[in-house]
Order: sequence, then structure tokens, then C-alpha cells
Amino acid sequence: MNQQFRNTSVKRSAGIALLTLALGASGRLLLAQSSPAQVPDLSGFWERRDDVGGGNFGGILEKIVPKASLTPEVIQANQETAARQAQGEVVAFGSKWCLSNLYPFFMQHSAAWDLFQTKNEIMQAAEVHTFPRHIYLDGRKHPPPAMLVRSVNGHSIGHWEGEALVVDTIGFVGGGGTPGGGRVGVNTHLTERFKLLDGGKKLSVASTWEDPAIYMKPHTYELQYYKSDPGTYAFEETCHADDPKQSGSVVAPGQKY
Amino acid sequence: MNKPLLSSLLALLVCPAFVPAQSKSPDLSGYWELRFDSRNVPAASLMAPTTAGERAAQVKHDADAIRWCHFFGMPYMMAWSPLEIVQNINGKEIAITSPVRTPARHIYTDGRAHVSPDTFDPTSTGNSIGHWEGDTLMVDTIGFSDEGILAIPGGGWRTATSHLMERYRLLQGGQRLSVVFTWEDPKMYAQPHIYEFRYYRAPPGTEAREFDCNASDAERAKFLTSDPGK
Repeated sequence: MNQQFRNTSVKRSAGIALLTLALGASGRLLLAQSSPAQVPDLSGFWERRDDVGGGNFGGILEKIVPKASLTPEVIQANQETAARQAQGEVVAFGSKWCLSNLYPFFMQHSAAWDLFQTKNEIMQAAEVHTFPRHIYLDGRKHPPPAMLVRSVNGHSIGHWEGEALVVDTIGFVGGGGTPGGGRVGVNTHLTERFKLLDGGKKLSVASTWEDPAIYMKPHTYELQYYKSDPGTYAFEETCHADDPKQSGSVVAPGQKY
Repeated sequence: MNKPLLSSLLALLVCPAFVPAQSKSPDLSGYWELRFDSRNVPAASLMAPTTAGERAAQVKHDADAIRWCHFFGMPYMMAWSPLEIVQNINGKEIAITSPVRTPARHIYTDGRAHVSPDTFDPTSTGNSIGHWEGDTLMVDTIGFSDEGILAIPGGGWRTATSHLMERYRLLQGGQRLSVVFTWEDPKMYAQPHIYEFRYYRAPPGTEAREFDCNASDAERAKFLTSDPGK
């Protein structure tokens, strides 16, 4: 064997061995990371900002969310609510009694929310008065109707479609509202797509609400969130129904205790 | 093989970007249950005997928190099942959720220090930072408010000067979780108050619960504020 060729061959073999080692090692590392390393990392604090000149968070929604196409029954109910407000019901019943905020309230609120991500679940922790939202990624299905426990955030299951997290939610307790004037009922079905934008600096959440008792057609809109600064920490938004300032409605409370 | 390629492969082997953030620490994520034999709670050594009036005020404070659906906070939330621990894949933060009316705990594991008391608004769950010592998660919490249920297992209650240290460690191949709580408070305890909960890993498919709270429910309010049996 030509010495020069032999040296080259030895180097090539060593290189192949190193390559094999490297790929093997990196392969093990990737396996060790399991699927979460192969999907986008959505974790962290996310917050809404006014980049459409809305002036306030409600104004932003009015600019970017189309009006929901509602059934006549819901339109009438909304008109009745507006009439009560015109007569002085300035504090909503839920606010007055500090009832848990119903989904998707925290998604349209000004306060940041914190997203936690594992292989099997995503959890959203909000600062407002509500429960954490759990999105199961372990392949489970929604419970059958007889086993479904309704909750303020509903029952959510998700899966990854490329770089998008697709979330399917049912099982709301009902009574909440959506941006664009929609409502959430006990039979409402929500589909969401979470996707990072701008190299992870922003998060897009596209929502589609469906419920033949509420919507004439699916109500679809997109909200975008900015990644909060590093070092951001959670606040706690308390609510005290026993505080007269909290229940400052002109409508007298109809309760003895 | 040329040197740049070799260098690149060697770099690939040691590059931190390919090292999973959680690879060196146990994964505590999942749902955990307290059972009848999960608690080892000795009586606390209180700084000074509390007066009947102080004890009554504390009991009323906690009863009002339940009646009016305030955030319950720490350490009450740790005594419910299923508890969930969510350990972020990037290793920077861990959350703990409870089915009762309380915010999630945020435990920052990104190396930050506690938020300055000058700027931090105290909360019912406090400000928690954590780090790993071997296979044990060490959590340090300060910054408690007087919101919620203040009672501490074994005696005493949390105050603005309470300092909580916790040690989380998996046992029995990950089927049990030991949490050792150590409370220090110059206003409350003559010596650190230490107790331990050992949680059982919940079965696969376990789901979060929401024990919601409705302050407007008149029957509920009557039950909670009337003499028992009335």
C-alpha cells in the first residue's frame, strides 16, 4: 500500500469513526430530548401590545377582530345585556362576585400569561382570576360526554402539525365571551393554532369558534403576542367579593349572606 | 478528513446547544397525589404562645378566604390532589398547579435572584427561585402576602417575614415525590419548622381538576357561616 494512500486511508477511517461517533452521540442526545426538542419551544411569558393604534386593549380587539356572525337569539340576549348596562348595571355579575374568568378572557387581557411546555402537556398560567389551562399532548382523546367534567378553560387536547401546535377544546362551563362579540356555550367547540413568528419573538394564536346555537358561521380571528423580556415574573391579580369597592355596582346584591 | 470538518464534528459532540436542558436533572413533571399516609408533620415550635384572640383572628381570616373565594396560596395549595408539576423543556422555569382556587406557583430556575422587595408586590404564593443540587430541586420562597389561607401544617401561619425552603426529590424510581418543607420566621417559629409530604405519582391519563368557588352561592355562604347543623 502506498504510504501516502495508507495515511490518507487511516485518516479517512478515523474521520468516519468520528463521524459515526458524532452522529451516534448526537442521535442519543436527540433521543434523550425526545419530541419536545424537535418541536418549537413556546414556553415563557407572552403579552399583547398595541401595534395597530387601538389606544387600549379593547380598542385593539375592535381593530383586528371581525364581528362574530351571531344567531338571532344571541343578538337579542346581547341587546338585553346592553339595556341593563344602560340602566346602570355597571359591574357585571361575574366581576362583582369575583367568579373565575372564563376562557378566553385571559388571552385578550392586558396581563401577560406564562406558558409551560413538556413533552406531554402545555400549561398556561394567567395572572387574572382563573385556573391554569391544561393542554394534553400525550395522545389522549376528549372524554366521552358522560365523563366530561366541564371547566372554565374547557378540556383541551393538542398535537403538533409541523411547527404549529393545534389545540382542540370542548367542555366549557359556558357563559363567557370572545373577542368580536361572540359567546361561549356548553357545546362550543374551539380550534386554535399556536405558531411562533419572527424567530420566536412573537406568537400567533389563530382561534376558530364553532357552535350552531351561537354562530351563523365559524368565528375566526388571530391574536399575536410578544415574548416578554427576560426576567419577567408573574403578578397575582386578586379579587375580593367582600370588598365594597369590588362590588361597586348600583344594582343591590340580592343575597343575605 | 480535513481539519475543519473534524473540528466541526468535535464541536458537535460538545456543543451545549445539543445538550438537553433537562438532561442533568430529574423530570418532576406530572400529576401527584397525596394519600392518607403522605404526611409527616410534627408540631411546630412556636416563637411564643399565641393568644386565643390571635388564633381566633387567624382562623376567621382563613374561613373568610374560603367564604369569599380569595386566592388560597401557599402552603394550602400543596395539600390537594392532584397536584401538577410542569417542568419546562428549556429548564428555565417550573410550575406547580393545584385544583383549588389559587394561582400557579412560578419557580424560576434560570439563575435569577429574588425580586427586590422594593419592587415586588407580595403574593399568596410568594416569589420562588430554584436550583438543582444533584437530584434534588431546592426552592427558596419569600414575599408572601396576607392573601388566602395562612395556616401552616403543624402550627403557625405565614406572615410577610416567612421564608420557605423546599427540597423536591424523586423516590422509588420516580413513583414517589418527597417534598421537605422548612419554614423560618422570626415572628412565628422558635426554630425552623420542618415537615415532609410524600406524593404518589398519579396514573397515566390523570387530568387536572378545577374546584371552582362561587361567592355568590347563598346556600354555600349560609353553610359556611352558620352554626353546624343549622
